[in-house]
Amino acid sequence: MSAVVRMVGMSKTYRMGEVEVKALKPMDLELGEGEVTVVVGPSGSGKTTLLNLIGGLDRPTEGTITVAGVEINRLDNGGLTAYRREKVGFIFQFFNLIPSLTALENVEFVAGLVKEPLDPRQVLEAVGLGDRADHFPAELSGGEQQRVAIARALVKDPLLLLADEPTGALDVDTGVRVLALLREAAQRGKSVVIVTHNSAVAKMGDRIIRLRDGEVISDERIESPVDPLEIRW
Amino acid sequence: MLWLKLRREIIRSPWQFTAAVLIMVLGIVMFSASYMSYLNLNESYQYSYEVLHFADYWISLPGLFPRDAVTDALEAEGVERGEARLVLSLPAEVMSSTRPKAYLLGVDLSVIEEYLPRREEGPVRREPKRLELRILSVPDRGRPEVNDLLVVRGEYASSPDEIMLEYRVADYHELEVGDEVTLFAPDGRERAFKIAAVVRSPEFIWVARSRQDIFPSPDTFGVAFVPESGLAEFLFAGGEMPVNELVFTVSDPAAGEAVLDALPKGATLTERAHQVSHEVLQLDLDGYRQLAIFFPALFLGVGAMVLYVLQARTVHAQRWVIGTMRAMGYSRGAIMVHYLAYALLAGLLGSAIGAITGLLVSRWITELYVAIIGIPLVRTVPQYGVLAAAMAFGLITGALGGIIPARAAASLLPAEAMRESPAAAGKRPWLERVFPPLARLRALAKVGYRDLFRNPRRSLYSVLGVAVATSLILVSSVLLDSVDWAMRHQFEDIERYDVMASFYPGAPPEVLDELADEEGVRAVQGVVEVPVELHFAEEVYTTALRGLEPGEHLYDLRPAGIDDADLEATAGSSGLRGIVLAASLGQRFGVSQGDIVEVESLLDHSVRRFEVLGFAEVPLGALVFGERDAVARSFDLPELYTTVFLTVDGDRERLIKDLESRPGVVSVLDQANLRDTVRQLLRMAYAFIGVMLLLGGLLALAVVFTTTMVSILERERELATMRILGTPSRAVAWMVSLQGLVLGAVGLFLGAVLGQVLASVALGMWGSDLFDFQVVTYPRTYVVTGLGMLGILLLSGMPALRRLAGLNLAEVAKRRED
Repeated sequence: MSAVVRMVGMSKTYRMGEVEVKALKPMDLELGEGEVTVVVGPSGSGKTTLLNLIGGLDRPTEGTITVAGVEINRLDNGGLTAYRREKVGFIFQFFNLIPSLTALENVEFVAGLVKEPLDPRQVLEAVGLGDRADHFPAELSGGEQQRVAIARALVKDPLLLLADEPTGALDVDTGVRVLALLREAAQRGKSVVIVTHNSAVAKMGDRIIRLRDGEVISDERIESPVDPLEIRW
Repeated sequence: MLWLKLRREIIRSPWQFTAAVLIMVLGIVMFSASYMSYLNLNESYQYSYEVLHFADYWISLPGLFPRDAVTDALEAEGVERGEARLVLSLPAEVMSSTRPKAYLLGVDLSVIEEYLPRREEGPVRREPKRLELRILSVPDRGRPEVNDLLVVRGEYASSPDEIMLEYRVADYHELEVGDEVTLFAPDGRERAFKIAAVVRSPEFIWVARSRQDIFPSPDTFGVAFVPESGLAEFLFAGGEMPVNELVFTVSDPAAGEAVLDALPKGATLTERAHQVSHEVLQLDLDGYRQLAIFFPALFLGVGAMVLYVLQARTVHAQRWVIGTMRAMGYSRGAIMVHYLAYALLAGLLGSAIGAITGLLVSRWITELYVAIIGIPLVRTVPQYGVLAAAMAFGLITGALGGIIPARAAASLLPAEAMRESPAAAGKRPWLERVFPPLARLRALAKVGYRDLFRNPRRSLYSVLGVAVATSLILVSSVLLDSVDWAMRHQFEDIERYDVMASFYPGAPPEVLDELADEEGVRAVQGVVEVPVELHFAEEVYTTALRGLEPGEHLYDLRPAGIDDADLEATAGSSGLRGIVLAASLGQRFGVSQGDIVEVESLLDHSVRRFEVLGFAEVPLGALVFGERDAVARSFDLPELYTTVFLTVDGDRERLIKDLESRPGVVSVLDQANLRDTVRQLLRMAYAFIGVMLLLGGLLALAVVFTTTMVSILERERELATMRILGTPSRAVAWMVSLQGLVLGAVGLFLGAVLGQVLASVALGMWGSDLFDFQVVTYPRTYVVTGLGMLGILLLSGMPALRRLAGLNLAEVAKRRED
């Protein structure tokens, strides 16, 4: 399995007033193609910081991070915007759909940003929302909104799919269906990173990275991940 | 602890708080400064009237009467003080300074002399100047019982060969005590009087020649007071001086009619409210008082709206905090006070700064006004009431702006407040259903325009913010445009002559022919003017009937809506068939076309009845018009012209001198000079309006800044998400700016309408038969206002856009929906 993301000696330190906070201590990590990586850990362990660095929302304080051969820590703001646009699909805990656009238009919004997107309607059908395409977010349930968010992330056919607590605002049944969609995406070759503090979700990962106080305390490869639809919490 | 929270929130967003306070300061400064000056001015007028025993009534007698024949009438019950006197206009000659004059339309501009052409230094050169003097007799025995004079320089006149000049005419011609004034009697005799004093009179705080000429130039018109013995010697061969006017004060208003009843038929009574100087000043003062409430109310209304927008946004954003505070045990009252405190604090701070600043500014305004108008005696009043009112208005505005959000905060249930708010609603806007191609736009464009409809409250605030800001800027500009247009319309379109010569009793047609042949004279027009009284159902109005020759256009009614055919139509076979009224008279007395009006000549008191054939839109001078020969025939007048208009392309100065030396010429007015000065005054008015624009602009900036900031802050997560998804920040900035501009355009349109309405209300406060201003807006005003608002919109959006560019995208995207 070839590495899509390579982090070498990557660390992140914030300044909060007079205090220096080491959010991530220097770490080396690689993420492979078609792999579901679940990052778990307690609050403040550095999960979201790791996700933000991979997603180009933030820059490391030290070290490098290379995605598909491009050292993204060297990119300027415009370069990072282009990186996010072309290579990364984001899925948020609270969906972050654009309220004034329908489900289909939310997907088209992103499709319009990239050169060779997938067909938005087909992608929406693939997540099971073909019949809800013309509904606005306020008219959709939480699970449906999150599926729109996944379709929005997938339509650009990204290398990376980054999900921050994707089931955090959903009930169990809806949550596992969302996780199943992420598994399907990985099967189509996407590198999927899921950040969660729900240890039950970790069972679906091909790889489980545990963080504590900004350090990787374990990096475990799972031979037979659990089918997401079988997970309960 | 809640106070600490409030303090920190203010410190965290200092610009937001500053903008709110600034709006309050502007409103309170405007209110306190203008209202305090209004009170000072009103007090000064009343004080001057009281000390100088300003009359309650004037009775004009139908001719000259021996004093003893009329003074018994003043014994009527309820009369306090009374005087019988002689009032007449005489040609006069003075040795006038040749330096440029700091006067315009009877107003002393020397207080703003630095804006006027610089006067030459060195000795004053003088030359003879002919003018009309309104002469009022004063008793030999001592000071007048009524309408006493305030001596500014010199000593009160005590000998028959002395004269006292009203200060404007004295200052204009730079005449001093000891200089001479030559008066010319109707029979051609002349006599030199020595200036004993320069005085101010409560009757002539505003010097008007008549109701139709409230802006006479001191160049050609002035007021003077001569002891009775002097007038008796000069005009009545040393016999007893007859009188033609009674003035008196009363303790009972019914005494006015009682005195009138005891006088010969034909005497007319004028009460104080309709005395020209008093009425002009009262109109001015009333308008000033109304504006002193109108503009600040507008500003404070905007202040309340801004505070509401800010606090509504804060309460919405702090739902969780409010829920937590309630869960911890804070009472609803405590929550309400806490969220009301921000608005009240802004109101309190704004009113404190505004009231103190207003107090200082009011002193300056009062001084300037007193100097320009020339109020004889000044008395200022304690301003505690206004200061208290200013503080109260600040607090009330704060409370009005803050109460609804504070109540909303207090009524939130803890569990509900801490629950995630439902997803922001989105739906297909009506515009898209009406205009389906909009649905085919690119997604970013769709977000752009749908956002305008998604949250109507937010869009409404933005539109209202721009509308109010635009109207504030526009209203001052429209006022200026209207005055500018009225002045130009009057002095350039209607009064197209360069020189006006008044003759007494009149100039025969040969004089007009001679004048037309004079070198440098381009055109001549002679008109006939008859002093008349118009009798309406309940009221009597004194004015003049002006006879104009169709086809002669130095005094041109065509721009006022009356063409030659209309003028010709006033002539019948034996005289006037009908008349044209100044439009302001029609409005004031509710007269319509086709109505019959009774016209009494004040020359022989003969009465005629004429049909009203039309109305002339003349801004100044509520006259009556008719065809010249018909006017003369109707009133059995000889073929004489009372006024001659001339246009000149040669040596105007020489022509004016020549005219002044002609027999029968009462005064010569250099209209071209007046026109230049009007332009100059308007330029200065632009400077004054500039200050108003600056205030309006500041307010606009604060309002638009607040509404834009709130509009962007409320959508921060949505905009951050777009950026995370890969939308370039420039595209997001464009979208937000375009949204602002679209809402701004709607606001601009509404503001333009609102500005017109407000200007119309403001002009209406001044409107009377004395001034008739239409609401006029020059295209350039729209262009400048539009561009100014565009600049303000872009400028006020910049801090929010900068904030957007510097957002921590990851942090904002994780927030719950606002």
